[in-house]
Amino acid sequence: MTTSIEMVDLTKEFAKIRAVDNVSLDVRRGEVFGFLGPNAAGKSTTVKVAATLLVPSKGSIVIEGYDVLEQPVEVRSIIGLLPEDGASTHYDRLSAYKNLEYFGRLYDVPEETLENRIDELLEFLELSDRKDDSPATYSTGLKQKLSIARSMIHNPQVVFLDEPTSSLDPIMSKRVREFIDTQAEGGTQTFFLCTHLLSEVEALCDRVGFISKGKLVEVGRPKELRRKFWTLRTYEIQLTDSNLQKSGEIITSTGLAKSVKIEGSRIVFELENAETKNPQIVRALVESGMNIIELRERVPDLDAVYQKVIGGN
Amino acid sequence: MWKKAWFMAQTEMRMVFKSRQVRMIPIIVVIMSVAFGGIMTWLMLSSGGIDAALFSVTLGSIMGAVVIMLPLMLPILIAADSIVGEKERHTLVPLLATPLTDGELLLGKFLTAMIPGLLVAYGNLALAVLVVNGVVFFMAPQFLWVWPDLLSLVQAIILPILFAILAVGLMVIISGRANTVYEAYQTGGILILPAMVFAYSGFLLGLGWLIFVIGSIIILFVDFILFRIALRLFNRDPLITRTG
Ligand SMILES: Nc1ncnc2c1ncn2[C@@H]1O[C@H](COP(=O)(O)OP(=O)(O)O)[C@@H](O)[C@H]1O
Ligand SMILES: [Mg+2]
Repeated sequence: MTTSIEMVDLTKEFAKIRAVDNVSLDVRRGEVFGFLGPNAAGKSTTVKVAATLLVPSKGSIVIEGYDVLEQPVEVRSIIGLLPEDGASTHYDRLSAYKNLEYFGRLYDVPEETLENRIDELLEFLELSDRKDDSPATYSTGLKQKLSIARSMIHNPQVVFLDEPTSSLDPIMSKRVREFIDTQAEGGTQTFFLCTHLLSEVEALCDRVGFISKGKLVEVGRPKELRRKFWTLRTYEIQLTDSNLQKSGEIITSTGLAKSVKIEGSRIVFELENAETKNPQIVRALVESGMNIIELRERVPDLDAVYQKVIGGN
Repeated sequence: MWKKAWFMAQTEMRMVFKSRQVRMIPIIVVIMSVAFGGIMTWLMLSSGGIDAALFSVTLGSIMGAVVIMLPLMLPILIAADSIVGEKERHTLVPLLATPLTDGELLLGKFLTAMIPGLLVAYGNLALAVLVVNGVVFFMAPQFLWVWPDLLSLVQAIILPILFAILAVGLMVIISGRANTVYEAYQTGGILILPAMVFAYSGFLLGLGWLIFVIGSIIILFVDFILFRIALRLFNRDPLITRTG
């Protein structure tokens, strides 16, 4: 595995705040790396340093062999950037197509391939029929898709996406994720994806780094992290009849759950190692003649997970 | 360096002229200087018994100031629109993320602000010369040609360039502190115009070629220093740190 992005002791201080605090990290070529953290954790600042927009206070970032301080022009020409609040970063005085054409030329995309590249991206992101309109007339979702197209216009080796789906509705988020996923399939482009959404990381990322208060807390595969920090999981079951009391007793009698409660028309229980225990619970219920409509996990809110990550470190 | 900056400036000029304010300025400049020149000439000639030499010197210095100073409104407004406006409209970050060097970016912004300003300045100069001499031709044909003489003509060609660099350089420096186009334009107008008038008054005294050449070299030197300061300020880290 070749290293694509190498951060060593990266620190960025503003007047009073240490926004990024001694972050060291290797991102491999071709992977989708999730940079997960709550608001103000330092994600955007890290990306801005990587994109040579901010100068690190200490430490370094090397991208595909180019140092952000020594070779900023080379760095900028091989990376793509979807900045934070990307949807609001277009020239409203140019059409969407002209926006892409302008950036394509600033990124030195050869003129004979630029038109094809723009059409391909617009097609893929379902923007073709609106390409001659000003982005001012676009919805936030369309604007964000245009920002994504812009960040990929020069087919960059490394793409930094800062909160690509924030401010998008669920359907648009899904489309954007599908697009990123398709782009990442080739395995030659590296993606560095900032997000505060655990679900996004799990859907897209090969590996994830948790950042909190400027510090990199943990790096690993999403599954591993989940297992490590989020062992006690909560499930709820819905049954056809209202025989909740009896079902609750059955679950309790298996001795597998840490807790069992009845909430409205559902049974809610907590357990560890759901992969092996849930099938046993379901079997017990079915064998006692209970009809299960739904069994689903209650995904805890992210704060709870962060609390664990930070607390456990 | 010039190629990229020029390409950037072409696109930016096209965008800047989508602003109604920017489109209005050339019209205002031309109307004001043509009307002013015509009326001044007419007034001076109709007061009667005017001495030819005095007439020519007075008219020349007033018109000289008008055709050099008024068109500067345009580079100041364009600089405000394309530098502070870019912050205001959140379009700066993607531009800074492109492989353009700091020098290319700044040069692009300078060209964007200066080229339309200079075109307007020279077009306006030609029109003002026609109008002033037209009025003279009809009212006092014995004066033949009153303005400009060679020195005023050279001044009216060279000084707009030197002053425009000064104005745009100052605007770049102001723009770091201003958050809206309007604010920048106001500050720019308040700071720059008096500075120009002051600088120009030296030439107005009609001290001839030597003073003009020395004065121009001094302004050129100030231009150079301002460009260097602008280059240090119009640079990714300080721009982003301030914009947040
Ligand atoms: N330009 C700036 N000047 C001062 N402080 C900043 C600036 N940009 C970010 N910060 C601060 O740095 C911290 C990290 O911010 P940021 O990197 O935007 O976090 P995230 O993207 O994870 O939400 C925050 O406390 C933020 O207020
Ligand atoms: Mg952010």
